[in-house]
Amino acid sequence: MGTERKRKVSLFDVVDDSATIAGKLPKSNGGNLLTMNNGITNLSINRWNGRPYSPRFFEILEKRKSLPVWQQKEEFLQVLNNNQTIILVGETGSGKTTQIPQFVLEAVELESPDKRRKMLIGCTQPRRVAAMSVSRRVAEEMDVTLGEEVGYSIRFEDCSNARTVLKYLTDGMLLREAMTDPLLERYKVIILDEAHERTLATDVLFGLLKEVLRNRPDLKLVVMSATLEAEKFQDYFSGAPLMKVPGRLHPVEIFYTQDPERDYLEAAIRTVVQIHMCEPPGDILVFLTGEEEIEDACRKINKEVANLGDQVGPVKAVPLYSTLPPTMQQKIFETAPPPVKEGGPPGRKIVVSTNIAETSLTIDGIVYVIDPGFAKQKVYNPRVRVESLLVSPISKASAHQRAGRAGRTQPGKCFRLYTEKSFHNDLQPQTYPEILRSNLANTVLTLKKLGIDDLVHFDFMDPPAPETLMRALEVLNYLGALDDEGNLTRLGEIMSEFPLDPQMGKMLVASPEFNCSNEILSISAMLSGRHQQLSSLGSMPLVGMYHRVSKEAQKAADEAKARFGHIDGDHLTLLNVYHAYKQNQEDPNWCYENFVNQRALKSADNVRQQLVRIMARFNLKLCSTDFNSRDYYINIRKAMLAGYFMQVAHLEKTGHYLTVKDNQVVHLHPSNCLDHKPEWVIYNEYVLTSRNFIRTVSDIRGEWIVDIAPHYYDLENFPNCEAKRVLERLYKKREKDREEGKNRK
Amino acid sequence: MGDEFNNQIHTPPSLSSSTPASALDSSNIGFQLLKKHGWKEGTGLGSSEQGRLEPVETYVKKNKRGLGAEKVKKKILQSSTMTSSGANGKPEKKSKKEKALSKRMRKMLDEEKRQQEKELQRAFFREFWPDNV
Repeated sequence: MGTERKRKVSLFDVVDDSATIAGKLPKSNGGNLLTMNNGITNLSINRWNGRPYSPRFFEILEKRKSLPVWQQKEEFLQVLNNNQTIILVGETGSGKTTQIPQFVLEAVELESPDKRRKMLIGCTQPRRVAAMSVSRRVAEEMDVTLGEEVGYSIRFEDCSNARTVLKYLTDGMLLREAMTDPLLERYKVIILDEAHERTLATDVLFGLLKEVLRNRPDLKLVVMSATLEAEKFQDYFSGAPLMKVPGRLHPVEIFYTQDPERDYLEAAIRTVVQIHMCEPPGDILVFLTGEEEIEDACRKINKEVANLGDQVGPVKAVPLYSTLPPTMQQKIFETAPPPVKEGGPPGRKIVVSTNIAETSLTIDGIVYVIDPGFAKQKVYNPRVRVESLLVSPISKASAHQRAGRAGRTQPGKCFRLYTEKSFHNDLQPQTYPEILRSNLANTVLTLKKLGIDDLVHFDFMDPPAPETLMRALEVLNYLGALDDEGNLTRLGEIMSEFPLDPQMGKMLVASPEFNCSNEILSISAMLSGRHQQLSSLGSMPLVGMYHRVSKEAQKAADEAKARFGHIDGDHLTLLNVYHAYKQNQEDPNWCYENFVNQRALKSADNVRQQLVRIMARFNLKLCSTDFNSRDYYINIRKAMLAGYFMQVAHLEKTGHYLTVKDNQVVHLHPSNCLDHKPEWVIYNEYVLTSRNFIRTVSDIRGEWIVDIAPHYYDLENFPNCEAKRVLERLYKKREKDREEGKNRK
Repeated sequence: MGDEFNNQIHTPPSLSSSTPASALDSSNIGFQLLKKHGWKEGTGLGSSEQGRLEPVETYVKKNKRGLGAEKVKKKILQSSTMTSSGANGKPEKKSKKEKALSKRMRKMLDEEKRQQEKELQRAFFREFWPDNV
């Protein structure tokens, strides 16, 4: 260890030297580690783990050096040396995400001045998948084992240790780390990558880091972005220097339609076929909005091209969306199919993707891009309290990014399925940052935990509307996380420790009171575990817990549903599946035979273990009601209501459901397992589509509402509706029962 | 914040139909709490209270119409919601008539679509490959 330290110091010095003489050594290509180390240290020893480099290391190194970002390595290190904050703009494919953190590692001293602590470099990613895959790649490039010197950390999964010097983590995780380490003292340099995506967590980190940087002059911040909005970042970070890394982009010709399209999906498929028939070889990237649409398009493309016969080459249409299993996602990297017979027309790969292929993913070989101008985006309306994913027009910046995907390997073409006039008139310049489109309850809880009390004047880059913050404060107050002065309560502190929605956190904290914390843990884990996995399968219940199955298998899957389905609600069905999984010793064959997605269950099981640890930390009892007791399921449903009392719908006489207090007409999602239409239901999710659905619902009783959440169901502050009259009766009945109880005594 | 986000998008009928989504007022505990945090009515949030005053409006797209074709869509959507709400009030009788009517309409629309398709196919070459013509 001692010698290693020395080596590091000398390296640091050499880098500094070469920075000043960089002009004299034009060949050094930004001065790489090997040439500079020459004569000082052993070339073949990896300074990070002390092992000899593998041949593969040198192989990869050659490739790395051809990345555009290497051209500016010296310049970057110099700017980093002279400034606390840097803004770095580079197109996807410039190599910034993998290379910049390694440059920083080479140049920065990781030991604290007193040599007591070793600090590390953190690089945030908006997506879990990116954090995992990029760290794997960088570990390979540095010739170290993933989880050792290079690691990653995402919600519910920490793959790093005390030796880690470079950690890729989701922006949300860094925010969580700040809750226990407010000055982020473990970090020497923080790199906020993909900042242009303006995720909720990145935006909060902006404001937070600005404050931290003032208090920690030794901390450095690199903000990396792919788009022009970087100038806005520069203003925000009081004129931090801006560095541009040229992407390797070839010219892209842009085509518009003459008239608006009547059906963008059809138009997209038609355009694919036309390109395939008329354009020279090159793969096609089509942007669509969601899983269903994408699968549909893939089928249709394959069919239409097949109908054309032998005159055209074969195509391979591959879907890409975030809920697709990773093995399926890998298919986008396969090559185009070969001609059917030798000398025949060449084949083509057609990637049909959501906007994840817009910036965060690089697919080589794409020459044609088809852009209908839509994407699914999260929206939140504080007036009706609904957060949902909706198809919306993209921004000009997005359209620009999409077009750029065509010019990665050679000059390309982008077909916009809208008119040039539409581009100018119907698209806004930038996508709204997520913070303006999100429910902020969780964020406010985090900020409160971080000790930021002046929420009103928090230095948001784009402050949310006051009403959005009001809703967040309201929710947290009703849940008991904030008192009537807006101060964080003890309950709120515990809730903030759970990396979950405040409602779910509340449900967990309350569950021991209802003697069912074991079961509530399982349900919470199932609800959180499934999201990152497969998504819904048409009419299937238990969204995400099932394999993708063919239509023939659907029947069998329906039988499986009948096996696990609980008539009192989908939450209890989830519990049944989890129990059956455990009873069958997590057997993969059992999962397969029952159409249950083992990966999703495994992940849920992992989530559950993490949640158990948090429960233990706060001495929250793990307990269950006797399974044979009548109260077993009742207690569970009551505990759920204790967290989700703000997500209740009431069955009206007309036969449809109205959300309580907000009075929105909603329908039970067809995937539900209920065998009846309960008078009251709690729901986990509100899905805004052509009809408004509530998904994952369970039957609850009006009596429980007046018992568990009278503060929320306060009739004085309640819009007039059927539900109100029912509640009035229930309150009166409760009064009467109490009176009678007293009299009897 | 600049004007860049001020492109107003319309509230979907489904959201406005059940309750007019009105702004939160002082009866709301969140409103009171925000005031206790130092907020003054009529001002925005942020370091210099520069934030937007109104929440971003939401818009539900219910069809596959292309960008810029939405105006045509709105007319059709309006009439369809009107008829469906009428059908809710007086069921059966009216809806049968409508079914026949809508069948004819659909046929017409289909034909129109086919024509349009042909035209677009031709247009595709004109627009995307101007040099080829």
